[in-house]
Amino acid sequence: MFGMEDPGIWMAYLLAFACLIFALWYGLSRWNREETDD
Amino acid sequence: MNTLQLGIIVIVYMFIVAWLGYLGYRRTKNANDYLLAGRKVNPVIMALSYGATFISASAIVGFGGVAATFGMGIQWLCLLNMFTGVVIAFIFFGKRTRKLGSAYNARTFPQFLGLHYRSRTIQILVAAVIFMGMPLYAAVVMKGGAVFIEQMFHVDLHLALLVFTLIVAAYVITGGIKGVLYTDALQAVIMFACMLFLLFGFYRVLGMNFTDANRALTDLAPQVPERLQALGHQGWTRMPVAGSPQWYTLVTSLIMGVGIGCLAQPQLVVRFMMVDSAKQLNRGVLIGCVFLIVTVGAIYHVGALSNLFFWKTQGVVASEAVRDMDKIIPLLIDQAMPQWFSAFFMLCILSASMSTLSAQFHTMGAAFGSDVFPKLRSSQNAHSTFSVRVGVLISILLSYIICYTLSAGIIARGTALFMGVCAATFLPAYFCSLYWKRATRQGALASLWVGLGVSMFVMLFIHRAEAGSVGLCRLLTGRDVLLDVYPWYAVDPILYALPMSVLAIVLGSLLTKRKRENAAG
Repeated sequence: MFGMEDPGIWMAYLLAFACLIFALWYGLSRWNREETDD
Repeated sequence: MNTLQLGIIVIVYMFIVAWLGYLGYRRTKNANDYLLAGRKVNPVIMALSYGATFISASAIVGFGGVAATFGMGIQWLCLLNMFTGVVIAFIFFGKRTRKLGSAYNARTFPQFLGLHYRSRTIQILVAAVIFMGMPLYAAVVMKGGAVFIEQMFHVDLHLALLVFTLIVAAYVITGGIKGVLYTDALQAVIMFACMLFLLFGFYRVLGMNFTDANRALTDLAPQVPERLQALGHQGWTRMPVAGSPQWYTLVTSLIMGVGIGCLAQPQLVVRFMMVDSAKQLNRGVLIGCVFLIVTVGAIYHVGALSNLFFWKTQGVVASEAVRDMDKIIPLLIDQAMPQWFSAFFMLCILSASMSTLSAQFHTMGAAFGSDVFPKLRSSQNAHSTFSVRVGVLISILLSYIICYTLSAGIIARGTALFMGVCAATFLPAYFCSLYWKRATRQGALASLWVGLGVSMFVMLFIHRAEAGSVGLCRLLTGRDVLLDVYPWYAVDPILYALPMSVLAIVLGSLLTKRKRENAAG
């Protein structure tokens, strides 16, 4: 995938982008939400 | 670009940093301001400061060199930096730390643990580990910055080190955490912009797209030097042979040591206590992840691809172009990128070093002045910051001395080493303070001692990378390591010490609870 034959490598890239998308969703959806801290 | 022009750019940068440090000084009224910025830090500044503190010259120069030598496997560390260092840290550790820290009115990480477990001994022990262990990490960061300045300006390493240290010392001692935060935010922006440009600029230099470059790097695998093949290297787009020495170094030391160790870094944890609501930490998740994937992801990727550049221009791979891993990235920037970018990259390295170093000095100073010697004051004022400032000064001197004893290629390993010790020593007690109400003072103390003791023992007698160079084991037993059986001497101390530290807090807490219940019954 993407010129990398080892799943041990391209999985790291894929998961890093998944993590970035989660962070964008998490941060934006709670940008002004007051929070339980529990 | 000549040395004079470079000098002017650096002087302008230093003036801006000094002005931000002065701004911090003007806005610091008492010890609470000096240590926690009054718990009212803007979330963007907090997240940028967290990222800039996290990413030092070690990450850029040291781990970039690791990527150039070992390949793209180091990107697992980028993933862990984002996932554990930001997502897990902010959501599962940060919110509770902020809430409890505010309830306890804790101003430092040792004080937080000491107040939670109601133990002055725990506070002093944690502070002592920070004050005695962190100078090694600070020295590694200092070296990363100074080596780069030496190469760029062709000035004496000792002079580079002295000037660099004095400037950071000036704004940390006077400006406190506000000075550190303001300068961190500027430095984070410089690092982000520089790494983003490096990533796209380097692809232009190579004249390839993402997939083509990866394919070309895959095809370069037969050129892996024999000395690296013997260690398990299979090419720069493949993981090392599972169970090989290189695999153990990459996975147990660099990826796990830093990836887990970042959860218990005192200079990072204290930033959770600087904001006034959980909302600010939610915003930090977004800012922190975007910052890390660009800064860390870019340099690891470019580091691995540097082999294509060196192969094309010199007919050798990166680790043959220069043997010292810590010098690969500076050489690449010097040879591959436009001259003006070298100046920009130099500001980036200065920023990365200064932002991490300032946080380390501040944390060590707080451990000395606020946790161990809180009664050391120049006046009767309870809000005096005199003792913390003395602590900062002593920690700078200690780090400066250690920096002169460091060997070549130490930058990435030294970082992993300190983070691993932090994880094994602090993480179980810190985690239980947030999530396990049955954890007792005795359990926490047992965990701290076991984590620290096992880490030190493995470093001195089992793990060849440290035991061999320290030489204590050879002095006492005549052998480099006690267990000369593979893979035991290749496994990082964190894999021995962290499970035992966890076991210590669980057993210690259950046994002391039981004793108390028996006494009550």
